[in-house]
Amino acid sequence: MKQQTGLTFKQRNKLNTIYLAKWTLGWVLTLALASIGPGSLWAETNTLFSIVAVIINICAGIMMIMANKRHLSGLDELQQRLHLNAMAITLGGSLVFGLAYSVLQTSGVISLRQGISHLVMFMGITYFVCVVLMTKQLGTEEEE
Amino acid sequence: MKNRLKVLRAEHNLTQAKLAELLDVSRQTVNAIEKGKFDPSLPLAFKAARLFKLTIEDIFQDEEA
Repeated sequence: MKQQTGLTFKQRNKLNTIYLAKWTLGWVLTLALASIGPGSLWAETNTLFSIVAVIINICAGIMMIMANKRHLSGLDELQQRLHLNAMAITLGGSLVFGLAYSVLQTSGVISLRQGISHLVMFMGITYFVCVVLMTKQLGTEEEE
Repeated sequence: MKNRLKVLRAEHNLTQAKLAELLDVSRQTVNAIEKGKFDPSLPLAFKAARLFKLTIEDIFQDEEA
């Protein structure tokens, strides 16, 4: 029983994962270009190049978002539920802990300043841990 | 919800991987359904029923009923 595309679930999933990986790599590389470019590849005063680099990065980012959406849509219902739960925890965790940290920083309890990169790392690690734990909880790794 | 998916799969000499391919889902999902850790959606339940030429009730039973 195959889908209209003629591909099995496994094949479709593999293709979607490769497509997502390619656009993620594209986004990371264009982000590096936009970050490192001014001062290294072109003069910092050349704002036109910087703007173009950022526009290219945003375009690559939009393609990555679309690829991620396609990847999630291609998963089966159990995997989609798992990712939905992981996303809910990640979003909630980032909001709650991010704002709690900000309040502690504002009130002077914590002096260490954190940047957006720390939030991205927090989100990535939270998402990864959630997916691993929920996969284990469902026992989906067990052999038949 | 209880189900007879594992029994039916064995009767038809199907592996989890083969059944997953026929149902167009992952092997992990078939495994989770068999173990009662995940209840499938209605379309997936219908797909399984069609595959084994049975009704949904023949495969899935409500434990509270």
